[in-house]
Amino acid sequence: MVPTHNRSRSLKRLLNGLARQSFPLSAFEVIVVADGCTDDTLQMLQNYRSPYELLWVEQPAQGAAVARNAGAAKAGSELFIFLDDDIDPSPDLVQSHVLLHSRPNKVVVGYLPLPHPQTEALYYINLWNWWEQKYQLMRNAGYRFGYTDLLSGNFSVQRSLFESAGRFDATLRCREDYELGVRLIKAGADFEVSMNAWGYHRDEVTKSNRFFQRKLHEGKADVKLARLHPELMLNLPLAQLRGPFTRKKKGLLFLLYKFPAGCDTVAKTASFFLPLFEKLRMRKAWYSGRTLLYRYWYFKGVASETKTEKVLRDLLAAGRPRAGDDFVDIDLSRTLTEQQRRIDKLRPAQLRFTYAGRVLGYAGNVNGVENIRSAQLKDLFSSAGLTAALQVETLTADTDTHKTN
Amino acid sequence: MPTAVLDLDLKGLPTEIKGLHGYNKAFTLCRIGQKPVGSTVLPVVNGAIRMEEVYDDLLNAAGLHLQTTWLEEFCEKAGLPADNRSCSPVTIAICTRNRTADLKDCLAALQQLPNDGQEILVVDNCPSSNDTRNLVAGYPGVRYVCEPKKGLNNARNRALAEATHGIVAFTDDDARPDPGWLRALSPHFDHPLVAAVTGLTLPAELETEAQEKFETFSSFSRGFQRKIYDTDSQNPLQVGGIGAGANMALRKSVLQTAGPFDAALDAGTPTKSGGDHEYFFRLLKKGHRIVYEPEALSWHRHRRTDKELQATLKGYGTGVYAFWTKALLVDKEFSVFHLSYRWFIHEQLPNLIKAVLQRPNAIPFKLVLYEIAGCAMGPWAYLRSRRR
Repeated sequence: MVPTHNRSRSLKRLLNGLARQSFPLSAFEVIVVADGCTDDTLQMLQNYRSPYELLWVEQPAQGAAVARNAGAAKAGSELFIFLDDDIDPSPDLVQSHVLLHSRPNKVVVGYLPLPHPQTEALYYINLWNWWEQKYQLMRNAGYRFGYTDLLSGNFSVQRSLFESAGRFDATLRCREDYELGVRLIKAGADFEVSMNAWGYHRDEVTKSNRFFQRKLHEGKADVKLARLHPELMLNLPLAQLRGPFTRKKKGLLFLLYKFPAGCDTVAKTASFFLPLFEKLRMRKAWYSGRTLLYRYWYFKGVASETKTEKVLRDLLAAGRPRAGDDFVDIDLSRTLTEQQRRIDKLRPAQLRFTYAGRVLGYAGNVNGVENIRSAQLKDLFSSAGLTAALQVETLTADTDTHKTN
Repeated sequence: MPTAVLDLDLKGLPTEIKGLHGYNKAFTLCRIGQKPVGSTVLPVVNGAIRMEEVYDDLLNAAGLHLQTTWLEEFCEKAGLPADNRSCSPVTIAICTRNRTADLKDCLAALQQLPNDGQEILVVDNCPSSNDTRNLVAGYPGVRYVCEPKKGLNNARNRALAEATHGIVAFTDDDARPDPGWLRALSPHFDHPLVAAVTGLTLPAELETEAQEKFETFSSFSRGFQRKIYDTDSQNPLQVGGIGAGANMALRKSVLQTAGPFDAALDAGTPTKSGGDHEYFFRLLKKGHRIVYEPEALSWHRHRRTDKELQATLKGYGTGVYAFWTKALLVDKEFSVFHLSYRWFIHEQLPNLIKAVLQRPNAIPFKLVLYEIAGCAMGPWAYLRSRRR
């Protein structure tokens, strides 16, 4: 399913790529949802001759979330692969997605790297780096998937799970994938990354203004996300606006709410310096400037969505992390194979590590991430800082053994 | 007095080490089960070291590695599988010129590496005799290639062109890689961002004063903690701390993005050095990642005489400035002025002053002077070399 908006050339490239799939072409259908297209997308679709079944839906511009839901409503099959219109799929993409859906609750995230940089432009290099690092993290056996891993450009899910999780939230124009990710995780979905279901993300963003616009939309979307899921508040960047209210924070909030137009002008002027810094190879200045501007536009989005400072403060006050769940005990003085099987069966949200009956500590209670799998044991344990405690316990146990011997 | 060099494993320490007559101290590498974790200098008393006296010292040198290694072993015993990263086969390349005796030791060390399908390639650069060719003929598993164009970077480019495998690990001919060297370097290339991995280089011997001075003031060692260098956190012009070409591995495919080594730089040209650092600069600018992996250990024989030491330090100065000259002229890196200013004002000048005032642990005056002289020659050396 492909939502599209005024990108007929990219879309055509995607449709051509789908015609070269190793998966039998008669075994899948492609549904394109034209979201308020004013270019030649519809003509292209009408004239396109595809070896697979190609359907399309037209709708007035309402955003990708609505478009994807519309595609899902029209779909005839049980397995959905969502792709963005700017992806250039590898021939094995469909097959690789299909192969991993052995259980109904799987969500498969396909590898979607940016093409290798042909430029030294800082913004592109950074973007490429960011995406590669994200996918490489997901490849680790001990990785714990979170809602930010639902990347809507290339993922697959079965209809039953998609519907029971409640489909995309139609009110969101941005972060709709993250928000669906929250609900999928709550529904116990089993996330997996597939490096074989890959395609190039031929993102055509070339102007830095688009990046700032994205940050603005992210700020607005995060406010909505926080309203829908208050327990995630602390995970979001807007939580930085919580108290204690330093003078800097108070000043920022004052400017954002009282002089929005003025601040925008300053920010837009400041952004002219970035290309200059880059030309002069002043990297540190470029990075600092960019970070500052990103933060400005993000908080600007937050401010414009909340309208007044009071609304923002009420929203922040409502944020509460989810209370500690039931935990499962892991006794490190016994072999772990049986205990690992238990974890994979129970999928707890939290673990309590013990050693021969003595409690070492708790680990794993994090909002917005999947429940624990056995592959995450080692990482959870070391990140909880329990190694020293464990060393003491094993030393004591050894001494006791020697004593009794 | 010379310093002994010891290699001790905390998992199998002898009660005493004898036979160190003629030394008053020992540079000691600490390992935990083959993995290098720290180094320290131990006192030698009457040609011997008693472990019970220096045990604390060794544990301090190992530092936090003690805890992390302990946890790894605990998890393994408890049945948690270790991370398994896929490794592709590697071509080991040794670029050499008229140093057959050193090369022999290097090849002997490489024979100790476990067989992971690696190939060994010797690139003989503009040799004046057949000694190296004849030596390599005696090693049936080692390939010999002669690169007639003088210059270390020409040899490196030739090595990359001739290599069969996708990863090329470079070692200098006067270095002896540790048996675990290759297995520490290659898994990092599983990550697509990684273009290069550098390793830890320790002194093979500290017999002469020149070698001790080199190790004290210009050591190759970059510590025992793995470090990751990414384009967004590392100034690509400040690559000296990342490592050196004497112990590095590259992904061959980066030739497409970053291009070949610059033939106008490094040993064999007027610029003397800097060819490896200029390449790291290019890799970082293209967005690649470089990893410093201390477990990729190699032992380097530093130059024995004072004259050679002076020439080496002068060569480093020339190399850095030559590389920065290129960066300025070709890549419009204006910040090289700021960097050279900072280097001089915050490091070289204070070092000169400390040497004049004869402060303890000051770098010898002559050496600082040679380095500065080298720097001064750098830009012209680059221009001369480029014209050639």
